[in-house]
Amino acid sequence: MARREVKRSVRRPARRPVSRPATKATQRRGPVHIRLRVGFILVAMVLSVFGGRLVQLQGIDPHSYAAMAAAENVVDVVLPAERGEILDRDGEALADSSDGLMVLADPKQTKKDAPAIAAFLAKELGVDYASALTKLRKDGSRFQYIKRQVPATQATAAVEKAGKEGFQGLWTSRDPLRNYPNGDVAANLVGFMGNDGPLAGLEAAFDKHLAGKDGHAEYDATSPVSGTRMPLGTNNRVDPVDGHDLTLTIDRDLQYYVQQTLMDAVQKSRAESGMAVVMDTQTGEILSLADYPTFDARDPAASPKSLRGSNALSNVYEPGSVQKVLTVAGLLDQGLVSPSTRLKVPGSYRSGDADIHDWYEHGMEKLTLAGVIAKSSNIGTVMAADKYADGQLREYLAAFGEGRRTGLGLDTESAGLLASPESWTDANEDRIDFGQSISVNAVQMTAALNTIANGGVRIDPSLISGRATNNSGAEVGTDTAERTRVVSAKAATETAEMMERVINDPVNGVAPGAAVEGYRVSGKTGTAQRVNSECKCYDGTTTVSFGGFAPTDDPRFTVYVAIHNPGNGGGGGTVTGPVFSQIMSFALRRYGVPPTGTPPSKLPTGW
Amino acid sequence: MSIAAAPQSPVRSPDRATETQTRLTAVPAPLPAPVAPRLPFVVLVSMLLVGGVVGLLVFNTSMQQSAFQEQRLQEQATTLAAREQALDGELKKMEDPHKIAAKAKNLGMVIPQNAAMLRVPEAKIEGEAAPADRSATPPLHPKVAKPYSVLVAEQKAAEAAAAKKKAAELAEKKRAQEAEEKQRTSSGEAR
Repeated sequence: MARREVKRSVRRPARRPVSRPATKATQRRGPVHIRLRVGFILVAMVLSVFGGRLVQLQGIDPHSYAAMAAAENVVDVVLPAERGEILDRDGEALADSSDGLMVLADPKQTKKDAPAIAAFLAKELGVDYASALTKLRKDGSRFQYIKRQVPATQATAAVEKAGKEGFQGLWTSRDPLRNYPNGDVAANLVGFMGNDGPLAGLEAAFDKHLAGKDGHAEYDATSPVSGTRMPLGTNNRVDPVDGHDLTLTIDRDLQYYVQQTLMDAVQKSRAESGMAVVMDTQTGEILSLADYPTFDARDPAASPKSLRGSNALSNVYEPGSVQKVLTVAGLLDQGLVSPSTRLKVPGSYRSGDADIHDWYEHGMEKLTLAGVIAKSSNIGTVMAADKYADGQLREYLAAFGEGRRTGLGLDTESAGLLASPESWTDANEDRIDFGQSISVNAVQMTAALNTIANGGVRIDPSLISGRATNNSGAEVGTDTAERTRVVSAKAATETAEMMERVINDPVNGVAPGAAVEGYRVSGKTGTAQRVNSECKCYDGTTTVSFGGFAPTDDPRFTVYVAIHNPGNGGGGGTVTGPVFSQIMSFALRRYGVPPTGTPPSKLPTGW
Repeated sequence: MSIAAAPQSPVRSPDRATETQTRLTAVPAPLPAPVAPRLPFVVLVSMLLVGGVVGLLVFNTSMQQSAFQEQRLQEQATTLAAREQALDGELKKMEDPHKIAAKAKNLGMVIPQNAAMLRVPEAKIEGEAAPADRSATPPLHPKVAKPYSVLVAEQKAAEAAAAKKKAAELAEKKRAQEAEEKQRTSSGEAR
């Protein structure tokens, strides 16, 4: 059919001399069916090549090309989450984070210039020349840490300078930096970060709260080296979640003062160690918790491991005579005695199969209950406490918080020891009356004394302002602190006034050195024998302590100081009393607490 | 083939019919179909095409440009943030109570042990001010850099390390001895 048509088209010009230009073009390009066939074959060939390639790409090995393309241009960067800061009550940083970098080396490239590079690094980054040299020459390694946690500006500058001087094989990588701007101030509580994680204190206990979660961004880049984002390319981004800040109830400047004062006292009395706690009476907030010796959070490796925490929380000891305050407060609450109860105190008192003595030799003494406290008589206390019914004392002591952790949020806290009702004996009770056969930590004791200061209501001590959940899931803080009434307000006031006589009674008071000029102060000394952990016996060393509050009639602060094994043979009144006085005086002035101006307690101590 | 044939058929059948049935007669020439001027259309389409391509190019370039700028600004922000952090760190180090106490001491300042309080509205003085002496100012540094308990702790750690080392050495020695013994007995057997 086509042929006939072609014939006709050939014929046509003969019949019609006027021919159309299209026909002419057809003549020039050749017959239509040939053109169509050739075109079709060409198209089919091209299409089959495409098809073949399609099958090859998608059917045979679909993933390798995609992966290659991704590796070529997709950049995946970590978006670092910032670790929360640890702040004091006024928002001053006790621990904060900044961008840090680690400087790394590829020994394969650094080997030949090793001495020059090591000298350069020693100068720029302060690394040890010899150890840097060893690292730079390490055989068969392509990755060596030169220095970790270098401030970003310093590390970048050093590596850039190295590049300019022609040293190859040095680069940097992210390594967040944790700063402790105050060194040893509150280091016992804050703890510190190691190279790869928190190692002590709140840093470790609240790691989940502080840490945050790194995000990442994945995008197409024009070149994987420069990392310039390609517009309209893939762009997956997971934003980082920054960690939460942790605000403490600690007052940094007060903490500094307490630490320095404690350090001075421990050294002057040639003691082994000491601890001091300052608590806000009305809120239970711990304003300061000091340990000596302590460590520098900027350089924890310089101190032995046993000192890189808070001994005030982890070490328990027998409280000694400070405990008498709790014994007597319970008695007053029960209405079994009054501050003027008269007691005939002998020189020795039989209890179980042993005799109880006082810290000083005496014959028959006529003391009131206030006198027993002022003079710190063991025998007088035991005689008064004999009025307790079975189990009553234990209930009071448990209510004062002895034998259980205070719940500050630090898991290193030790609960102390309060004998169980089953193992409780009368002879035991006599010793517990004046602070033996019982062990406490410094914060427990402070919280117990604070109960007296706070009108008989115990407040859970707190170290965290607001609330926060620690790693073991406990929610702690000032918001969760509970208040429980332990003794009546009347009993608390009477106890406080008796405690004032410890300091202001010129005859029987044992701690005049604890007075704060112009203020009414209540307190109680303690001198306890220490139990040696090796022989489980009293080894002749002592723990001296002083706990109290001021002003007596409207207490604002409770301060507790304990010093272990003073080498100068001092007691609670002479060693810790003046420390208490200095700390209390500083705190009252710092917070602008005026003297109450009421007349001091004149409770009779003898009769 | 069939595609080529299809338009042919309507032409063919009237062709045949004219040959067999009627004579050819003059047909009034059809009016020339109105031909739209081609030029404006071609210009419009090519302008659209060129405009589109150029526009896309310009748009892409500007996006790329802004990506570069974004990266440059990002780097600048990072550098500035690092600098801010460095300065902030320096400031915080200066706020260290140890440093402030040392500076105050150099200026001859002491902490007052007793201060009076003024109640302005009531024109009252509470407490008694006393001249400040050094009694309430704790020392800046410990008298003994390494107190007794630190020394004890360090000594204990050192002893523990030494004991560990000794135990390891002993174990090594024992192992060597045993190996020797074994060798001896085996050689004895051989003898």
